[in-house]
This record gives sequence, structure tokens and C-alpha cells, in this order.
Amino acid sequence: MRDLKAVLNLAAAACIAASVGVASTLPAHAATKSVTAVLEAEIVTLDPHGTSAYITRTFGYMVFDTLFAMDSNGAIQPEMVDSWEQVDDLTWTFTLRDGLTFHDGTPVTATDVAASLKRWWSLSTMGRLLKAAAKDVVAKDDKTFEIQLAEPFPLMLTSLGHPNSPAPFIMPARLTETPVGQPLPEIIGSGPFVFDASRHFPGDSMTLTRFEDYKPRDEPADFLAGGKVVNIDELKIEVIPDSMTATTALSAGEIDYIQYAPFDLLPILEQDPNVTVMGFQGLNMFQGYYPLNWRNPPFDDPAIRRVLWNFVDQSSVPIALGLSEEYMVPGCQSYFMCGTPYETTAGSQFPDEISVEAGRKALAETDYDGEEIVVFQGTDIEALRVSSAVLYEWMRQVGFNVRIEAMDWATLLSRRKNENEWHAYGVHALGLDLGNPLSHFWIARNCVDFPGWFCDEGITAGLDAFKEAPDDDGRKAAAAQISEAAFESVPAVMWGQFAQPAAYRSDISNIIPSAIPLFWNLEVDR
Amino acid sequence: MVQSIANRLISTVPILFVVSVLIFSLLYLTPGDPAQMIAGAQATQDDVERIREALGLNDPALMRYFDWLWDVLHFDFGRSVFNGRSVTELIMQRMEPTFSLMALTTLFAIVIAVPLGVLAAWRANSVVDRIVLVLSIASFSIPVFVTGYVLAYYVAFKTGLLPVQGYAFLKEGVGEWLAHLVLPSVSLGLIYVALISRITRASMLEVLSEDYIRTARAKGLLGRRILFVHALRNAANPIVTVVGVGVALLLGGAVVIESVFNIPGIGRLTVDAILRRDYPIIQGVMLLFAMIYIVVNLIIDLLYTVFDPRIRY
Amino acid sequence: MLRNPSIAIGGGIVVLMVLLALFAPYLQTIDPLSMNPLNRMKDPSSAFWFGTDAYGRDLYSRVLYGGRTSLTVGFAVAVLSTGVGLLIGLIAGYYRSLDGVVMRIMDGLMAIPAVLLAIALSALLGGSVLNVVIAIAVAESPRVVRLIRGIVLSLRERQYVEAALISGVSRSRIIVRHILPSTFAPLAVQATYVFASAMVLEAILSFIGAGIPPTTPSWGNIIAEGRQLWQIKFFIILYPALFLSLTVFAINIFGDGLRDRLDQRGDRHL
Repeated sequence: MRDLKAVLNLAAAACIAASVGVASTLPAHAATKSVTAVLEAEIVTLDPHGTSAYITRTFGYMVFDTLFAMDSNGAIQPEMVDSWEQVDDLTWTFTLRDGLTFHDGTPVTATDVAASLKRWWSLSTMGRLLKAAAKDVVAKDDKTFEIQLAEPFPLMLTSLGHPNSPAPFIMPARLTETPVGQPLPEIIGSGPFVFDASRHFPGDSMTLTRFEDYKPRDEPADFLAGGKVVNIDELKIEVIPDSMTATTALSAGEIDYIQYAPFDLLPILEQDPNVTVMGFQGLNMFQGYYPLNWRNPPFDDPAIRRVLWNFVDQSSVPIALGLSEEYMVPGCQSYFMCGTPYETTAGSQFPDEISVEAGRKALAETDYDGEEIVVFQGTDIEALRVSSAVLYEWMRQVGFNVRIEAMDWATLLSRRKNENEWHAYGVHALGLDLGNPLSHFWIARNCVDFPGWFCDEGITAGLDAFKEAPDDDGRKAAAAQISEAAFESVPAVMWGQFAQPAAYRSDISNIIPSAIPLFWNLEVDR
Repeated sequence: MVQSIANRLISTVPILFVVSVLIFSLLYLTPGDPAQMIAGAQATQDDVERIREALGLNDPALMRYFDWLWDVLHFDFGRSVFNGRSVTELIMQRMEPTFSLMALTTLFAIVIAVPLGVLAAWRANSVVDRIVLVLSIASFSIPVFVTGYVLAYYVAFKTGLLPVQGYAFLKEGVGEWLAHLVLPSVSLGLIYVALISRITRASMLEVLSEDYIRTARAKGLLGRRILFVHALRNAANPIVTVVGVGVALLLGGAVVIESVFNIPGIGRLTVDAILRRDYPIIQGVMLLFAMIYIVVNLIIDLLYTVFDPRIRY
Repeated sequence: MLRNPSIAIGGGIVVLMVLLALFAPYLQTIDPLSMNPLNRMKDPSSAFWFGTDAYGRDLYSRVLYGGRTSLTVGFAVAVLSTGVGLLIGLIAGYYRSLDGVVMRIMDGLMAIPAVLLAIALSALLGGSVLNVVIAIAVAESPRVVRLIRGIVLSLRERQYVEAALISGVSRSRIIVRHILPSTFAPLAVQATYVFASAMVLEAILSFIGAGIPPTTPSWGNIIAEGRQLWQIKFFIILYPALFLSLTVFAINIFGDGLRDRLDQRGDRHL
């Protein structure tokens, strides 16, 4: 029994130590100004060129910098670039601004820029356009580089400044030797925040500190463009996989910011005086989609694909997600979303009344013969789960012979490669990508080997017209042309436009309204 | 004794080998592809293929297995496919939270369960005994995450006395550490309390029915000291076994509780890795679990000799 | 029965649950899969007895059908893992040459916590009732194997078995005639514990996101889906959790009663 006594003694000692511990930890908060954020997911891949995952782009904009950047009007503004010139149809020269330094203290050179662009452009949609048009990117001197083209490329600034993921982030030339897919040996950028591997606990937290040598532009911050002035000392990014727990932690003041506040808790958060809810508009909203698999009968028949326009209304899924009308655009019928530069309803196939009844009628007029339809359902993200479940239910009521298969997102991504296993699945993407035909996943991936395997010559023609258009009016006309073709051939059907509001402690001010969380410019009053 | 421990350790090698083969074939045979997860949903098939190649995922399975085994024999458990950090380092970061949680849970459970079990045996078939029995089965029947949520909401959030979520490392102060662990340990410990109190009761009943105790009891000699010291000591072996068996149970429960309370432990590392198909981490963690299980069983066997000197190794 | 109220109470509740599940199609009020976003999260009322969930589905009907799935999972796992466990245990216990290999594999499986093994199997196989049953059964079987093997080992030393062997009775006959019957009682007790823990495990798998898809309601996945909302609408997890806990409780009590009645030791675990 000596042993039990020893245990009890130990317990008593622990209790005493505990009470002492409480007292001694109280004044630990020094003068560091710190913000703790919970983002949409864990930042798993740190290589900003290595993935199209949104969360890595968010990380990219903090730690890395871009040559150009988009402002709140969707216009492209210079960021790392000081001046540029289109010498002739096939030659552009750019000069970097003074004082740009990487986090290891070395200056940013034109060589680094050239190497970074050549690494970025293989995986990026925008990058591939540039790659296809370009002959070479050449460093002329330390601060000047030249992009030599094989054919004219009116979208030069868009491709260098568009946030379509992965965005063209600049890193030291030596890091660009790591093949895309392998983890980078170190994370060194020239952005406003510094990544420190010793303060990164994968799966738990990451602490970024202010880059003291960052030289912000003089212009005020404007979305991704302008001067990135950091007013906090450090940014702690925590992983809290359970959104309920994260929300409770926000209300309790344990964290300062959550990127995606759970929809059903918005009314509660809105009433909390210590919490501010931030909704979004236009390109910062999301749109949901049901990508369709053209290679799997009966969806090889465009007439059967078009049946979906008759019953997929644009509000049911967002409502089922728990959103109130102020956070959605009910009934938006545009492929390039509503409230965006290229909004268009050209060629819309939506009937006046969208309903199960209309779907049933439309289906009866097709050659559909009871073939089984398989809906894939990603289970680990709420919008995926809900949108697929609602589609399944709609199709069941309309009279399709439909089966739903649930799986985690990882499995879904790998199984959608098998063309005879599925017909549709629910997913959503950000307006920054969907608002432009060239970065729209279910338009731009036309006729390439991408799950769904849609291929429509009308869309190809429209995309070419868009690329070659000299001005914005031309691009708008091309977008309408694409829209007409897409409504006819149906690469995917949208299920609604909605915002994923963020929520933060009310003692934070001057936060940039952006669906990509940005932590420069904001101020904390504590 | 040293000899026998050494023998036991050597006999674990085949078990670890079996675990490694099981896990590797499981990962090889099931769908899911880390390259696709890295590339993201919008990547084309070409992109994914390039990344597969860069990660060496296109090599034959047997070759990958032997490469991995060779490295493991050199104490190199590989690197995360996603962030390139060494698996050993990632596991080390997660050790403290999980072990703290398990240690506190065990402590809590023993302190509550053993006296309860003794009491139930002492007053066998009384109302007290019935209540203890029903409570312990009830705590066994409620899913651990339901208990966790209820405690987090009503005890932590509504009163503000304890943190709702998260973990504080010991270096941040024992008070903080303890405050973050109270609710997780209690939620996880309830199942454990049920288990230990039941076995304590059963084991004590057996001892109490032995002649010398019955005689003492009949003569009114059975004091608290005899009950808790002599009788309990003789009843200790089954209890120790259950505490040991429970470690596997705790490791499993920790996976859930770590998610509910957002504790950065090994359980969450494992679940994240499984959902993401981070093969090296899954393999490393499973081996680690197997080793913990084996070591715990070894310790139990050694404890037998402490409680029952007749057993010798 | 009267001497042993545990069997009566536990068994009674289990029978009631089984009846509810069996007659779910007649007892339901609204199609458990039918969604209506306009009826999201309605409080319990005469139209929706247990309220509705986040998709506007009727919770009462879902809980009824959820019982079907959960009980099926529990029963299927109990049958599968005791069946497989019995077979392997008999072989391992009787044929000494196979014992070493088989038990090493079982040790390997047991060395991984059952919950984690089930999560890994289920996540990697993909969620469906069948896969969840397989995943849990694989995780549960090794303990049954061990139990049976132990019984066989102790039996084959008995004189009547040795006598039968010497008198030339075939091995398979010995197993069937002399050993098998002695395993039934402990197996029955063990099966109840496996039944109960499989139902809890199913809920845990759903919680982790590796369980049965919500289009097949189970008590576990109704709770798991509702957990994002329970601070606002507690009833969303209250009813399924109540049914699940009550059933698991009843099965456990029943198992305890059975064990006392048969005087067998079972190995309880999660």
C-alpha cells in the first residue's frame, strides 16, 4: 500500500503546484500584439505553387508577395513591380521596386522572379495561358526582367496579378529547384509576414511574425493591392476542426477570428456585442456547382443533362445550409456569378418556374430509360454534404433512378477519376475564380483531361475570343458567347450564390473585407 | 528478470512486423491518393500524375514497403507527404498532450473507481451496490463525444470557469495545463471508471469470500485498514490488468476527445493523416501505438510480481 | 428470469427496440429521407414528434429507421466477429502448428486500438453499412479469437478429450462433439458485449466522419450530423442519443445478467 500513498502524495503535490501555477501564469501577457485566427482548414501544403487549395493561397498572400495584385474593383495594380512597359506586341519589360527583401535578408532579384514564374506557370490555370504564349522570361539586370512572347498576350497583367489559385508568388530562385509536389525545404518569401518552422506545429498551430524589413507601397491597402502595413506583432493560426468548438472559443474570447462562421450560429454571433460578423459581396462570394460527367451514360446525352435546369433552383441548397437571404443571391442564373464584371444570363435555360414538377415533365421528353445515376457526396465539408444530399433528393423526386455514395473528400477526388463510377457531385468555389471564364473550373477545363470530361467546341471558341479580346467590352461579349454554349451543353449546373461570413472580436478594426483572409492593415485595440 | 524482459522485448518484433505489413497493405489496397490531395480539386490529371511521380508513389508497392522498412530499421520513419516534416518530430510534438490526457484520466479514474468498487463489494447487493452498478453501465453506454460536448458547454462555457477548448503545455504553467485537461479527462475517464469499479468489485468479492476474511468479518474485526490494505492488495492483480487493457481503450477514446476539445495530440494527428492519406504518418503512428500497447502489457506483467510475490519472471 | 431482473429488464428494452425498428415503416409519420429546407430545425410538435433536423427531415422517423441501421450493425458485427472469432480460435487452439502464426496476426491487430483500426478501415474502404460492419468486426474479432483459443487450450488437456483422442475419434469430431458446446456460453456473453460496443463504435465512426452516410440514417450519424447544432436545438441530438444509450445500456445489462446466469467471464471492451 506504500504505492497508493505515494500516488496520493504526488496528487497533493500536483494540486499545490497547480494553484501556484495559476498565480504565476497570470501576468504572462507581455506587450506583443497578437491575433489568433481559425481559418477554413489547416494550412497543409506550404508550397504556394504546389496546390490549388484556397488555404495555401491565403498562406501565400501573407508570407509571399506578387508582382501585381487585384484591387477591390477587380482591377490589376502593381505590387512588387514599380514600372513596366509593353515594348512591342511580343516584349514586356518590368522593373521591381526598391527595397524588396526576402525573409532571409537577401534582396529580391529579377532572377528570383524569372525562376518563380517558370515554376508557378505549370500548375496554374492563368499560368498555363502565359506559358503557352511565352517564349521566355529573362532577367535583364538585378531589378529588370523581360517576358518574351511567341504570340501577343493581352491578358499579361491579369495573369500576373489574378488571385486564381495557385497565384504567382515570388520565392528565392534556389527554392524553385524543388519539383512541384515535393515539400519545399524552407519557406522563404518577401511578404509582410515571416514563417518560422520552429513555431509551426502541423495539425495544431502556426505563428507568423511581422516582417520588420517589409517595405509597403505608399498607396492605402485595397483588397490584395496597395500598401500592406502590418499593425500586429504576430498572427497565430490555430487549427480547430470542429466549427462549433471554434465558435464557442470566439465567443469566449479565446480566439479572435474565424474565417467561416457556422451558418446556423450567425444569428447568435450577430447579437454578441463582442463579435462582429463580416458578410461578403460579388467576387468574394461563393457559387455552388454540380459538375456532370459527360462520359457516363445517360449523361452523355446533353438533353438529359439539360433536365437539371428545370429543378435545381438557386436558393434551396443555401437555405438548407442554414443561410438567411442577406448572405445569398437568391436565383442568380449566371455562370460567372451575379454582382461580378462578367455577369451574364445569355442563353439561360432556366424555365420560369423551377420545380420538381417541371423536372419531371422535362425528363419525360428525353430518352432517359431508368439508367442508374450515381451522386458522389463528400462528407467532411458541410456544403459538399448538403448540396449532394439535396441533389439526390431532387433527382429521386423527379424520377431519376438515383443512388448516393458518401465518402470523404480525399476519396471523392481520387474516385472521380474513374469515368464510369459517377454522374454528379456537389461542390462550391469562390467568385474570384468563377467570376472569370479563364479561371472558372467548369469552363476553363473544357476539353482537357479533367474529371467530368466536358468538351464543347462552342466554349472553346468563346474562350479563344475572350483571350484575344483587346478590351473589356470584347471580353464581356465573349463571356456571353461562352454562357450561351454552356447552358446548351451543360458542363456543370450551379446551385446557388452565397457568402461564407467571417466573424471576429469587435476590438479588431480596419479589417480588409476579403474572402481571402488578410491580416495586414487591421488594428487591435487591447 | 532482465533476461526475461529482454526475451519479451524480442518477442514483440514479429508483432510489430505484422502490424507494419497490415497497415501497408491496407493503405495500398484502398482508394485515396495523397498526390490528388496536394494538387487540389481543380488540378488536371496531368498535374496529379506529375506530383505522384515526384513523391515516388508510382514505384511498385513491394519496393516502397521494403524502402520504408529499411528506413524504419534505421529509426527513420519518413516524412509527411504534405509538409515534409519528419514523422518522428511530428509525433514528438504530440506526445505531451496525449500522455498528459491519458495520465490524468487514469489517475482520475483510479481515484474514483477503486473506492467505489470496494464500497460496492463491501455492501454487495445493497442499494449502494446497485446504484454504482447502474451508474457505471450508464457511463459506458453514452458515446464519449456526447459527454464531452455537454461538459464543454455547461461546465466550461456557461460558467466560464474552465477553458472551452485547447491545450496548454506544461511549460506554460501547471495551472493552465491542469485547467485545460480537467474536462477532457473527466469525459474520457467516465468509461474507465465504469470498467475499473466493476472489476474492483468483482475482484474484492472474491477476496472477501475467502475464509480468513470471512472469519475476521464474522468476529467484527474487519476494519477499514484491513479492507483497503490487505483485501485490496490481494484483489489488485485483475484491477491492474484492466487498467492496462484500458490503455488501448483510452488511446481510442483520446482520438475522439482530442477532436471535441481541440487537443493537439497523437489521436488527432492520426485521424487527420488518415483522412488526408498521409501514408508515412499513418504507418509511423500505428507502429507507435503497437509499441505502447506492448510496453504497457510488459509493465502489467511486471506489476504482477509487485502485488503477488509468488509470480516470478 | 425472476431471480435475474437484469435479463428481464435488459432483454425487454432490447426487444422493444427491435420491434420499433422492425415496424418502422408502419410507425413512421414522414419519409425519413424527405428533405424540406423550409422546415429546418422545427421544434417537436404534433406534425414532427421529435422535431426536424438541419435538412428539414423528420427526426422521429429518422430515429426509428436509425434504430434499424444501428441494431443491424450491432447484430451483424456480433454475428460476424463471434463467427469468425470462433472459427479462428478453434483452429488456433486445436492445431498447434498454426497457433503461432495466427496468434501473432491477432496480436498485431490487437496492438492497434480498436477505435483507430475501425476508423482507418472504414475511412479507407469508404462509408457504407457493409464497410462499417467489416471495419468494426475486424477490430472486434481478435478478442473473440483469444477467448475461444483459451477455452480450447484448457479443454484439450481434459481427460475426456485425451481419452477420445486415444480411442481414435477424429479431430473434427472431437471439436464438434466435445469442444464446441463448451464455447457457446462464453461466446453468447461475449456477443452481447460486442453488440453493444459495435453500436457505440458506429457512432464514433460517424463522429470522425468515417461512418455510414446520412442517407441511411443510423443513431450514430443522426447524432454526428446534429452535433453542429445542438447548442441551438438540443433535441436534434437528444433523441438519437437517448435511444442509442438506452439500447446499449440494455444490452450491457442483459449481457451481465447472462454472464451471472451462466457464470461466465466476458471480456468487456470498447
